[in-house]
Amino acid sequence: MDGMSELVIETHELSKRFGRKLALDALTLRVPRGGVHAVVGSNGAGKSTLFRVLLGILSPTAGSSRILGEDSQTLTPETRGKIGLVHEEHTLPSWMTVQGLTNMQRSLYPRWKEGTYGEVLGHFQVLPEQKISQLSRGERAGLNLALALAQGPEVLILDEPTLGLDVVAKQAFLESLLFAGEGEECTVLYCSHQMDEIERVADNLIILERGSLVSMAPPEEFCRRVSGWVVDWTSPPPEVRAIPGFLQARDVDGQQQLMVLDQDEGFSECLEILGANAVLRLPIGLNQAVNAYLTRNHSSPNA
Amino acid sequence: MWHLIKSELLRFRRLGFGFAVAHLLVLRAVSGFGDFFAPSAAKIGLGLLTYALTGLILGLYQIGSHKKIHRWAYLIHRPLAPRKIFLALCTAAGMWLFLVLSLPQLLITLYLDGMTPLWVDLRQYALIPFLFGTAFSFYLVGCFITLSRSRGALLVAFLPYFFLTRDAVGLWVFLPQLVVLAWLAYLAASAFKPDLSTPLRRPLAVAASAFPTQYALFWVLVAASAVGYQSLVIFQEEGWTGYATHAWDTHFAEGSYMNAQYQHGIEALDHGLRGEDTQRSVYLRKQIELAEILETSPWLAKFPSRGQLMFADGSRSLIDEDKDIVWTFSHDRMLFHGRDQGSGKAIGWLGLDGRIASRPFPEVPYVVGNRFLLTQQRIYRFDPRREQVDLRFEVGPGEQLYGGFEQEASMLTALTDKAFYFFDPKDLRDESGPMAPTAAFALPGEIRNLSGVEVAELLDGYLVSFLFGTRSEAGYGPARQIMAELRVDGSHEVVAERVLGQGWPAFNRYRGFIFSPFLEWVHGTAWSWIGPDRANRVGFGEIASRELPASVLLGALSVAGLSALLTAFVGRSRDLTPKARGAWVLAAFCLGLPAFLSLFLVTGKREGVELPASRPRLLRQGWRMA
Repeated sequence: MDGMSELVIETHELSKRFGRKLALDALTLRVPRGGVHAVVGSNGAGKSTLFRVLLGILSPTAGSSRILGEDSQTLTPETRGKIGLVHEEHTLPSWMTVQGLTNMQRSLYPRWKEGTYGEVLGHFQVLPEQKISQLSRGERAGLNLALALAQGPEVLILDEPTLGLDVVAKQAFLESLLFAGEGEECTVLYCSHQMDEIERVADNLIILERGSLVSMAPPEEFCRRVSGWVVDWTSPPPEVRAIPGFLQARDVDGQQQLMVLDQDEGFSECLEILGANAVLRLPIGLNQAVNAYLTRNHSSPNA
Repeated sequence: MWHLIKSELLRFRRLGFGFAVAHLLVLRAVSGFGDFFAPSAAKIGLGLLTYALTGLILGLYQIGSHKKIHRWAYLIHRPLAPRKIFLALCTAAGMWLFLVLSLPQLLITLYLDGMTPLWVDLRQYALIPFLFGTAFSFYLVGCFITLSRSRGALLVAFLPYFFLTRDAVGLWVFLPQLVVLAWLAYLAASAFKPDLSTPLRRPLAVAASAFPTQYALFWVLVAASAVGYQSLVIFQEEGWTGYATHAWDTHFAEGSYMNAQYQHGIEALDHGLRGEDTQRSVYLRKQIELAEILETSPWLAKFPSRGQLMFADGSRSLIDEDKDIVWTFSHDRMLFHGRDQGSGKAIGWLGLDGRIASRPFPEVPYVVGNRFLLTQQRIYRFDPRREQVDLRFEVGPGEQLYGGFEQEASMLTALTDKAFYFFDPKDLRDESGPMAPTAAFALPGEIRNLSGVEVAELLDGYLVSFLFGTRSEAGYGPARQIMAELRVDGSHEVVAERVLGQGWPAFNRYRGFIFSPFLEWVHGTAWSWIGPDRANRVGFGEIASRELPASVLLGALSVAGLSALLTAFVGRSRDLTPKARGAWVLAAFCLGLPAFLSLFLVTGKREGVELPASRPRLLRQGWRMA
């Protein structure tokens, strides 16, 4: 198998326009087989649009997208059978029973894994005779995940699946996902705003901003790129344009917390040249790093 | 796929069973009225509207509820081809429509057939699949409207009109319906695709959606321009206040066909003689002022056909009020079936030889006024006292009746496509056989172009006015009024002939042709083929040989050229390939203004990306994991 054929998702200069809004802006993305790939970005960054284009539910305005080697716009039923989808609404036919729905899904997917289904559903208090409309949101999420994983998908798209779930349901959901991922050849695309979840499950972090890919790296690598500093200025702080790699600044108790990108230990000397009296480097987590990264343009919308 | 069908069946089970039971109860209640199989036009309309709306609402709701973005992803993203998914939804909907609409109808029909004295013909069973087809066609319309991105999809609701108003016979009644069903199914299946935000692209699918849209637009244009022009005329003549009070009878110029149409009785006869100043015409004018006038027209444009659905029946029952018996014609037996209205019991059959031998009618008769029965070539008279049906008049081979036995004072007449007959009313009392006409006047024009006949009884004969011109407005025949005198000795002569002008200006009369000659032709031939009444049938030869004013031809050509030019210009901003744009320009030239207008409804707007030249990005190139 050559290098290109190992890609499960590949977009090339992919753009999608809704009237005056450009939801995807010449997005070129290559996702290799295996692992959990977290897709993050602020609201309107184009995450859900990307998933819809990948599934052929939306057509691109320009560019192309492929999933499992097939053009997204002409996905065959067989390929669709290899792609699982769980989204935030956990849309399931409310008029059916759990057993009825399971039977339907079982008949549709030839690679159905009864064991996986049972084990995932075991994390939730769901009875076969229950109607879908009687399930709580968390139970529906669990059932939805169980059904998606039992298909034996090669690609699993999770679009904010834990949105609105309580702590217990979220925990059960993530454990199910982590458990089911073990030893499977399933590539997971996981979209979420919950960085703690991403920190737990993601092997790779894809950051979208205004429809463009702005970063793609393992979470720890990305964390290393973003550094935080506490600075005590002797005089008024310099203009942010003067600070290399500037992402975010916040005043706390007369001091300034700075978040910067791609700066090493030598950055403290730079700050001192700019007028810093005292400089201290802060340890930061993924949540802070991503937030700082995504909000940089909020500080300067015209940048 | 079966599981998906089952899922959709389960989805509507409560509503469906409730509706079915309610429908059954309503039908049972309605079947208690005597006219269950011979309902009035209003009841037919209400029934059809109910079934059509049921189908339409089911289509709108079923697909509409799946269309929300997450639900759509759940429905469409599965290892089934979209067409199979759509087939599953349609199958479930079809099963529900059968259960909710057809099964109650079938149960009630079986009940009436087997457990009541009512006679049920085979065609009454055929009504059940026809109504199912009607409901299902509107279900497909609902699906297409919901699936389509354009509001113009509403115009496909025009397609069922092709079979709803038709009255073809026997199994042929289903042919137009099946064609429309296949058309709608193809359209809806084509629109059922993963990406609902894009318009149809396959040429056949685009053509299948464009044609009904254009046809509907054609009628919108024809109707709107008529209303617009007439409103303008009213405004010019009487101002704003005229809209409530304007009377058209004074609008048209004297000597025009439209003006002549508004003349009745003495006025009509006087209109025909206007301009004549011979001694005879002066004499005739004096006579008609005192004369009794008989007015008639070719009112019987369509005879019932054996096996036709009940929509086209008109009248098929004879009511014997003295004995309280209703005689209802059976298409299966070609006899009248009698039922005592008091006891509800069946009392036997009535045929050409009365109740004894019950010889079947050769054709389905049209019942006129509880007394006369008309077939294409015969007029029978029903005598309730003797319970006999007597043949009273028969026309020659190749001749067809268009009206029969109109009586006024001592005049008794019948109208055929060949002649206008006079009879002696006293002969009606005679029960001995067919009556012989006392006089016959060969029709001085084509029956389909005949608007009306007025007859004045003179001292020494009759003065007859024939007003021709019903088809003249469309350019298919002359407009003229012919006055003929028929004397007691049987001789007759034309005493006056007025060539009439047209009431409306040419651009108003030929506006359909100007908007789209092709769609006007399609309309004419389609209606003629599917089975309209005799008067409205237009042959291809007639359409082709119709003489049109040069201004109309120039107008149609200009509209076609302008439509093509506008399509070429607007087409640049639509989401079309160069080849498709060329096809649209050609279509606009051939189909005229409706084709240009449909461009906005059938195609999507072209959307470019148009990225700014420089855009701040930290990273734009693709990434790969190490």
